[in-house]
Amino acid sequence: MTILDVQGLGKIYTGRFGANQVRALNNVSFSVEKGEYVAIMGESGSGKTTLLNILAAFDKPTGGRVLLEGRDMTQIREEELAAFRRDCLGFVFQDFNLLDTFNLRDNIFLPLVLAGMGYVDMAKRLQPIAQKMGITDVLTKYPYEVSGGQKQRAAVARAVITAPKLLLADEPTGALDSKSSDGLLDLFAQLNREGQTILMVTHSTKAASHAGRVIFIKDGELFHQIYRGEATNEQMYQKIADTLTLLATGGDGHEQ
Amino acid sequence: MNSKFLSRLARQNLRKNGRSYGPFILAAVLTVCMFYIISSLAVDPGLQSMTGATTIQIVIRYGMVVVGLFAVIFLFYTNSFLIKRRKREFGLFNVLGLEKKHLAGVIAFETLYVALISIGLGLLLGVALDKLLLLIVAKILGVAAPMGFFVSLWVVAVTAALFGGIFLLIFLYSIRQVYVARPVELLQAEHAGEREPKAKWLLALVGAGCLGAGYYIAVTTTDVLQAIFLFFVAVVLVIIGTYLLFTAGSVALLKLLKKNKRYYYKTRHFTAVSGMMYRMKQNAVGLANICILSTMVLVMVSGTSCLMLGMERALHERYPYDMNISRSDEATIELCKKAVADAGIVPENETEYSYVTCAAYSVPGGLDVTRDYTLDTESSLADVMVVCLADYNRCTGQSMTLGPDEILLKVERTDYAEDTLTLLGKTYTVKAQVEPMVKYGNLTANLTSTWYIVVSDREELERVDAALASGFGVKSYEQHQGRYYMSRFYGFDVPGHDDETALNARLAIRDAWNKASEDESVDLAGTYECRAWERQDFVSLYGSLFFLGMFLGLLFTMAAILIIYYKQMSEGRDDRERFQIMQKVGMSRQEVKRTIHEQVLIVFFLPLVTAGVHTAFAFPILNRVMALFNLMSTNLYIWCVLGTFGVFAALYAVVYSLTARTYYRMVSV
Repeated sequence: MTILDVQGLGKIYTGRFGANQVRALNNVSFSVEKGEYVAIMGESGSGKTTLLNILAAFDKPTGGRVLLEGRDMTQIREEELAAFRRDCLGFVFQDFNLLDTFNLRDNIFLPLVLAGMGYVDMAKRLQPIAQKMGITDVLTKYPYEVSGGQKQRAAVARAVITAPKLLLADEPTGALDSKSSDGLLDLFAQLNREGQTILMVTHSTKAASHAGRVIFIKDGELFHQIYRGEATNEQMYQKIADTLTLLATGGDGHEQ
Repeated sequence: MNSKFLSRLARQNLRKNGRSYGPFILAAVLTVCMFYIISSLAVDPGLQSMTGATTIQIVIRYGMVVVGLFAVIFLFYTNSFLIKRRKREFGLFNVLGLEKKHLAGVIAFETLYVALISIGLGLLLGVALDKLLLLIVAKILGVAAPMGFFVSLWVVAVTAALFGGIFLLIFLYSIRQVYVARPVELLQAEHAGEREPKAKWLLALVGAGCLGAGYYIAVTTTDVLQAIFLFFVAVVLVIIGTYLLFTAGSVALLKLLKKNKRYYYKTRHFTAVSGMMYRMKQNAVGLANICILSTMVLVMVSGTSCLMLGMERALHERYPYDMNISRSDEATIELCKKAVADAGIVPENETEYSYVTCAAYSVPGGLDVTRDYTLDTESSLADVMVVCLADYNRCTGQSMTLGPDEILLKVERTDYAEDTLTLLGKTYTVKAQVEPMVKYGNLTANLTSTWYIVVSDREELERVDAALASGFGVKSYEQHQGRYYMSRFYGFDVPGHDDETALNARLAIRDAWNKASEDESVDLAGTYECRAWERQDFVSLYGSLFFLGMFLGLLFTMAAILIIYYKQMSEGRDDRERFQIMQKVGMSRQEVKRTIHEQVLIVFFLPLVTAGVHTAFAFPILNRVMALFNLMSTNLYIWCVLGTFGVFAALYAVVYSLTARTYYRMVSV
């Protein structure tokens, strides 16, 4: 079953006075099946952040559609957007985006509180997730009191506690040391095995090598995609590295 | 690195930080301007030539000291905000290769520019507005303003020196901030101190205790003589209480709310409680400052305007007739009547009566005139005035009758519920407590209770007089014409209550009086008081207090507004990040807007509401302090307080809406 369908997505940034039009995305189309783990790769400025912002409904495209379970996200009204984001999407950011005025538990509760859930229900939901993330002991600590890895795992807990249809991750390992990165990637793999659909934007080959499929973007266009198939993480890593080399050396894409 | 570059950098910095330096320079200009004006008024030769100017200039000189002190604290405090916000900028310069001595140079130029602009513009504005203020003072005093334009070089020099000194202090503080910090610290300065505040229960309780004690004193103090001293005790307690409650109490309360999970985990409360906790940690002292400043404005402006508005009434109570001749005798009064008639003035509403006055202590069942004066019995001190029924009926238009041992009684500023009253060894039956009474101004200016006693006839009055004399042992100079303490009062109005006629009557009496005094055989008794003449003194005292109250009220209001503006602006940046995150995890724009609105609303109006509560609790004691200024009208004072609060709140609301808009633009994603 297709959970996310991106059709002919385009985004043009217009500078002041209509000058300097920048084409950030050009006719990008792909779809994500339920339970898939997709990584989107590309260099800085390739348009992957723009893509993620549109998928997260932070930004509106100038062309094309994004269907989440058949519903066109670009047509959702501003007033409903927050609730939609809260109920259907979960976010993990490079810089964690935890509020330093809340302890970890309250940070994780935030989307549920915004949705109006009672404390008892929230606590019931939190318990297994916190255990899975291994942060049960530090729940009452504040973001500045815990390590980067713990912060990111709390952020993942916040993203999945609403049981979102799609988990969006923006460079989730970007601010972590290698050990924490490994832990986080294992966690993502585990979530994915349990049925969570994940879409991750990254330029870490290692992070992408955990995904089931990797989509490459260059200059705002879909350049290439590779499937894991039966490959191990190591083989996947090699495949990705080869593609990146091709990308960097200016190898011809599909269209050129 | 040459100074040209540094000065250019300084100019650029000021322009770039316009949003925060603009209001600071504006405030500095206004402070300089106000200090110049008040100093100039203190030495203005034109003002000196006005009537009653001595009082005004003494009051204004006090004001000058207050404004000067205020300027030091206020500008220094506001600047510390600015520097704190700019630490990151300095850190960046430092990292980019500006040495600390260069940074000091940049700051020196910046401070120099700000100082030159502030002092220059402030003095210009001050000179321009000085004359206007002088006209206002003249208007308040009801006299013609002196012609001409006055600029005192001495005042200009004093103003420039004072503010030059303040800016030097500011400069030293700023470079110290830069010198003690390392670049990394400077860069990270803004993120320091995000630790959740601890609830300090003990301090919160002490704060509540102080506030409660202050309020208790203000509400329960009934003795006006003690009120002034106790008022200051109450003020200090309330100030301490305010600071402690804003700092420790607010956090403690929020912690309690947070502990209540049912309350805390509601969409509306969740972000508000935690946000407020941090806000209070960073801003409690600032908010307490605003609260104290607001209270000062409210008390000062309402008090002084009430005095001004109630002046005429106080004047009429103190001087019930246009001319009042008291503690006098028949011969002297005849002399005065003749002098007035010779001057061609026809007296109206003439009143004349004999009376005995003495000081006494109110004791159960009566009045004791023999006890020695001691401080601890102060509160039962009473002034007694005795008249006879015939005079009473004539002067008040009543037709009361009294048996030989019966009296009529009127008691002011205390209550007396008993049926009998013992005075000088005789127990009288109180036939009635009456409202209308002979008018006698000397006793209205009193803080002690006043007892008007109407006895049955002239013989009884003389008996009281004689008993009084024997009780004290008569001294020869108090004895004349066979009477001891008995005096006579004569009061009259001039046609149309015309001030000029009244003053002429006074002149006629004065001349006759002086002339008669030259003749050794004539013994004159008493004092003559003319309402129109005394009004000049009242006006110069109340008018200058009123002027100063308004002046300082304006200054403090400006300070409160500026502080609150900076509070909001400095928070905007932190809040921006916070609200961005919240929107990312599913808070809608409306919710963000509402949350911002609520928090700004609380931060803004908490000090105002607290100031209102302070003023309400201060009302009873202030009302009694007002009595010291002859002002006995509670109603008028209530209206003055309400009016002042209304105007202040309206001003506050305008600033709120402006700030809220800027703030929302700042944090909105």
